Amino acid sequence: MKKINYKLIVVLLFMASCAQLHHVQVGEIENRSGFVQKPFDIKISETGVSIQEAAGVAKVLSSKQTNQEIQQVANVIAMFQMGPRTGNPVYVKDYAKNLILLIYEKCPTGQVTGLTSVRESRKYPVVSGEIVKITGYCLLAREKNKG
Amino acid sequence: MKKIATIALALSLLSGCVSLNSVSLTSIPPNRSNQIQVEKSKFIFLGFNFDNDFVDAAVDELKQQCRDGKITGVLTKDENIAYFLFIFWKKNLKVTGYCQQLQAKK
Repeated sequence: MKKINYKLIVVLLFMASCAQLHHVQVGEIENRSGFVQKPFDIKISETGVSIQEAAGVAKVLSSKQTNQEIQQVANVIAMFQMGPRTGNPVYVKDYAKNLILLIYEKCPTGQVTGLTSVRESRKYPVVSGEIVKITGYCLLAREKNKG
Repeated sequence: MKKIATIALALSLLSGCVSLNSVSLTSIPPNRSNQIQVEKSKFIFLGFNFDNDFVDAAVDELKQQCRDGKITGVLTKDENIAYFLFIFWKKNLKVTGYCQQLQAKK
């Protein structure tokens, strides 16, 4: 019987991410024939940290006496992170602040349609990618596009 | 007895628990005669989901149903359906809207 390579399994588990969908919103769609619709997408991401998972890892690596202290610290931090949220807490509170500016950069005419906003998380052990993804179409007048 | 047990097992395997993840709605038009709908879903085994790309096609499919028009009153529903013992999951995205045919310019 072949020997199972546990190290490889652990590495694969740490590398693979699970995608969790939190919110989807589709906006109004303009589908007029006089315009060319140029698709665009924007992705903004920030690192989230799961304190409970970090405490779990730290407990495995430390002595029995330290374990209680680690759990206490994790519990105290958790008390400051209460309330409704999606995904893990991030430490940059306005990472999605410039979203509108980014849409203008992608579509300088400002005629945007079919905006789909997706809020999702990519979960890894302890950390996660807290993602905001926007896809949409920039409306360009046909005459301008030909020139 | 065996028959009842089989039916109970089949029912528990086939039925799912639905939970609503998110809902959004845009302004509803006065003319609501032409309703269009798109449903996209993805099966997930034991919670292993590596992307959410199934939502990307929804807008394109809505556009195909409303050529040369405007889609307003867009209701987006994101649901989770958990099947027996949470082994299988289904992510379901349902988008409905009203197609407003644009009048040709004279």
